[in-house]
Amino acid sequence: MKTSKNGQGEHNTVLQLNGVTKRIGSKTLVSGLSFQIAKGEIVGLLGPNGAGKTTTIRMIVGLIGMTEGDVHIGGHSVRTDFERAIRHVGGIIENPEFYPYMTGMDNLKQYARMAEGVTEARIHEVTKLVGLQNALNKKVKAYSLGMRQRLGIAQALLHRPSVLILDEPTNGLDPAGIREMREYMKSIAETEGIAILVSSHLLSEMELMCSRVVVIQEGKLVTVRSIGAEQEEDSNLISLSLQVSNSEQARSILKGLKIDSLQAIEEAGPDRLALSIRHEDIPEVVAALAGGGVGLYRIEERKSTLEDEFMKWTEGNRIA
Amino acid sequence: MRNFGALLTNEWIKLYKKKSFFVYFGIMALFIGVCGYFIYRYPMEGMDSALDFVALFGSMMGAGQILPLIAIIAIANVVPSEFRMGTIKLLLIRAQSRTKILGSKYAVTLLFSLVLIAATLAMAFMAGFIVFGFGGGDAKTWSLIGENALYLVVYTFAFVTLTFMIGVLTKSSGATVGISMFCVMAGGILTMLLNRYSFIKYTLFPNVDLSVYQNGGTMPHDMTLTFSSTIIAVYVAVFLVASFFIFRKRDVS
Repeated sequence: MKTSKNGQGEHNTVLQLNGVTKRIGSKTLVSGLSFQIAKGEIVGLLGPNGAGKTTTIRMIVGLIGMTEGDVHIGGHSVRTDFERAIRHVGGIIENPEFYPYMTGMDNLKQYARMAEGVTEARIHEVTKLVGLQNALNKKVKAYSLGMRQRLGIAQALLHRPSVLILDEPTNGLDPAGIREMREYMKSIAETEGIAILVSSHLLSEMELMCSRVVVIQEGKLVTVRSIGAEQEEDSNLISLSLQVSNSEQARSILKGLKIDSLQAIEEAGPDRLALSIRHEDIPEVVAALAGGGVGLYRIEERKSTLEDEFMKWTEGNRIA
Repeated sequence: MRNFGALLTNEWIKLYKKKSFFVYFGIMALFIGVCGYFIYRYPMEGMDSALDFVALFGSMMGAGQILPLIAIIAIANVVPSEFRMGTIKLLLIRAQSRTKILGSKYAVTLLFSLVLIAATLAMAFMAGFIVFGFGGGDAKTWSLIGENALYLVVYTFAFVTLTFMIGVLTKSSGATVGISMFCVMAGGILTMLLNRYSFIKYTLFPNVDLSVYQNGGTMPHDMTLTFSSTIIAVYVAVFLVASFFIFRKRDVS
């Protein structure tokens, strides 16, 4: 788990959303969304299907116009100073699409010409980083999805952006590809200090990759969380799940105990009890149960996953 | 400006790297070749030099019958294919304004049309020299060739601009080719059918072929060369304003 400071200084902020709103007719797709991303941070944009993730990402990169609000990238407004704002952005919007009848090199050269100061050497440097140097002279239509994904990263990094924006970057990748993608993202963020905003519906993936998640639902901000903050908050309490021979009896024994940290005792299925307790007090519970004649089959620690939390935040709204 | 040159280079490469690029020139070569063969087998009266040959087949009566259609097919894809392939998403997130990007695309459609016309004329010269040998023709024929080429350029540019706009509006290459072809074909028929109504002179179609005024030719409803040129200019301007306005505003999703 990565630690992240929530109160980053202004000078570190590379991407800032201020009350971004998108309305089409009477329908509000995104409503007053505000958050910010600092240098070197990997932030996940989470939300159920139709929450407005894609719309938000496309508004940030200027593919979709904003009804209200503004996005600042590197201090420049996307609305009024688009060319200077977008200069700091590298993006992959869904699956990266290239001109299939051209080689990988020709495709990269297209984007190199559109940016300032991208030399041939830079193209080679980037292709080496993504491990594509041997496939550059092949036509893109002969590329596998994984190779196109790498070429996508290469084109996004070409002009040395300060923020990477990725919309569902792991869509259609196999587990190995997803893992590789994640490793790239992490190393890029660490070594080059690039901020990354990534939207995905793969929660476990986001948990492994992001230092912070922004959760939206129905176009509105639900919560912004640092991954691991939950555990940090009450780090002295551990959630346990016990499998016992008689949950009724076990429960009454536990209720009779005088342990301050013991709380939230509830039945979790047949013969199962859930409780929270401090690390040091666990042996006392075990001893009490054994002394009271209750058979103890299993003691397991319950770790709250991002998925559990997500369900809490979005009130059980189905995730795609 | 260096910027725009780079965008134009990009667009030209996108056209050039497609296999179909050479097919368009091949079709024009075939057309000129067949014309040359027929002139060789069945000589025409009044045509006795390579320059005469170019003057006829480089005109609206000759290449004008097929070249604008080829140009339409070739450039119809310039905007729609970006949407079809999804490359528009990567194209528009560069440090370039949408106006410049669309401008480079429009410029490349004109450039392609010019190259196609120039190549066709060059091939006509070659065919003419093969059939009639060098020599013959005079200064008047040269200026006729120039004049005819100019009419061909205006006609082609007008329809290419129309096609470009339809491409931006529909984002579909099939629809673009279909609608543009329909306009070229139906335009002539419509003009004939509605000839007695004077409003027809304010539409693009009866005006777009300026060669009708050649040699003192006249058109109904007091149409003149100046009038027709103005109408063409106005239509082209409207097509462009519509294209750029829509393209700049469009949400890409």
